[in-house]
Amino acid sequence: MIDDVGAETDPGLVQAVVRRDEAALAEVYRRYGSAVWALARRVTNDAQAAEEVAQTVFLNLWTSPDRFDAQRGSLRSWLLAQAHGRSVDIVRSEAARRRRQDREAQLAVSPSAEVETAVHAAALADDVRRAVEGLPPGERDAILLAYFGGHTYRETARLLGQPEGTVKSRIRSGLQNLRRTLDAEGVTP
Amino acid sequence: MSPENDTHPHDELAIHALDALDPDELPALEAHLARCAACRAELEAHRDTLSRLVVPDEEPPPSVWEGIAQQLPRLGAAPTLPDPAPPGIGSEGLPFDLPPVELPPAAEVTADPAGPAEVLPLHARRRRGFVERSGWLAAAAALVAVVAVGSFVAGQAGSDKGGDTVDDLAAAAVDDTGSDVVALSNDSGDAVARVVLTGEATDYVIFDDLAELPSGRSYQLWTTDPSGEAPPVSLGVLGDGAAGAVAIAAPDGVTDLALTDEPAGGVPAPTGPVVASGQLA
Repeated sequence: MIDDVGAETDPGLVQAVVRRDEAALAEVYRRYGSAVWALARRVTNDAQAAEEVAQTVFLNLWTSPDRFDAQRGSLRSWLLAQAHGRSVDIVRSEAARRRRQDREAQLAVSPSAEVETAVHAAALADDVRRAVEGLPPGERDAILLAYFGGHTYRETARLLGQPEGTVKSRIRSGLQNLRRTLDAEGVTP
Repeated sequence: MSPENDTHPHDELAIHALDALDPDELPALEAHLARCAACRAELEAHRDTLSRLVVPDEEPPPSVWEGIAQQLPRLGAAPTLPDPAPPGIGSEGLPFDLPPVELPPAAEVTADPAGPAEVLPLHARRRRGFVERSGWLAAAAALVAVVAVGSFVAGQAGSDKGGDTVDDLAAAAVDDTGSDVVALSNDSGDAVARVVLTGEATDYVIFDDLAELPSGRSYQLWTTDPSGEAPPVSLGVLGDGAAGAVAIAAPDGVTDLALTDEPAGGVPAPTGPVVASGQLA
């Protein structure tokens, strides 16, 4: 077991998890549990669902630590990618259930309301919000709707009233622009 | 579409980083990613950008870590390559061949998914071992452990707190027309569990009529090769059956499934009796 988990690198902690070191898992949770839970809560808009997503992500790290490849990327972004994927599954299964239940009501959703919801859900920190707001509106809305709203790019295109091809390339250029801006402003995780 | 997209799916990579691709577009992208390191790196770069958007503003409630900590002692690692053989495999002639089971069509799901799983003793639970097949034994000697493809979390807690539990999510997945449901039946032909293959990141195993195992034992789910040539692959250790449902992550292309009774913590290859099995119709 590691003597000082606080001083250990992320890959080192994962190696310790492979060796069944519970303190190492606890340290990973201490470092990234808040971000994982925050993202899950923002995407699902449900504290209970967020709790289960966070638990799933860390328990999966416990049972399958070998799935993390330190060569490919950071532990933080890997954990957040998992949290996001599970959160989106929940949102979509919820949406599907609600649509089935409300089929007769035919509740229409206004695109601007959806974007508002996504913006609110994102709860972006100041410097991050500035970077996001600095994007061309088409790119910004597409990324917010897809990432925080849990919409597929096809649904996003429908919501924004844009062709799918346009939304696809805006998402791509939006992420590139975002990375450049965050780099320029020195925003790191 | 730019000329670049003819060879590398740059737009799809960005969308996939947002988990915003439609499920039918995933296989093609994943096939490309499997053989293109540059695109894997690009996907990673997008995920890193997105991770910078997440700045937590508060601590999670203590119950989040408590739920995790509680599970740790029960959960062994999912088996990975390579692992030394647990004692007894060589001597018992591990090899295995699941006899075909006659099943009702997998699409028939009439049980009430919202009801709690009943804990009943299994009636027809004879110890059924695995038939020896020399070809597979030879392969097993060289490659003893089975790669665990799945991961698992039990649907703990939550039912008294409101909001969706794993049981609720599993029930919703059963109702979803996009899901495939595989009924797992015991020796008597009774369907005792269902595996819900959603086609998305999370699949579910619903314990409809399985006994809760004694301490030290756990159910484990396997996908098997009908021809018997490839060894069974673990889809995860599912716990003692006390939960109503558990979440797993099954790979694509799963068709034949088997549930065995194993030591808690899981094993690299099946050793216990086959409790139930089934196949995708």
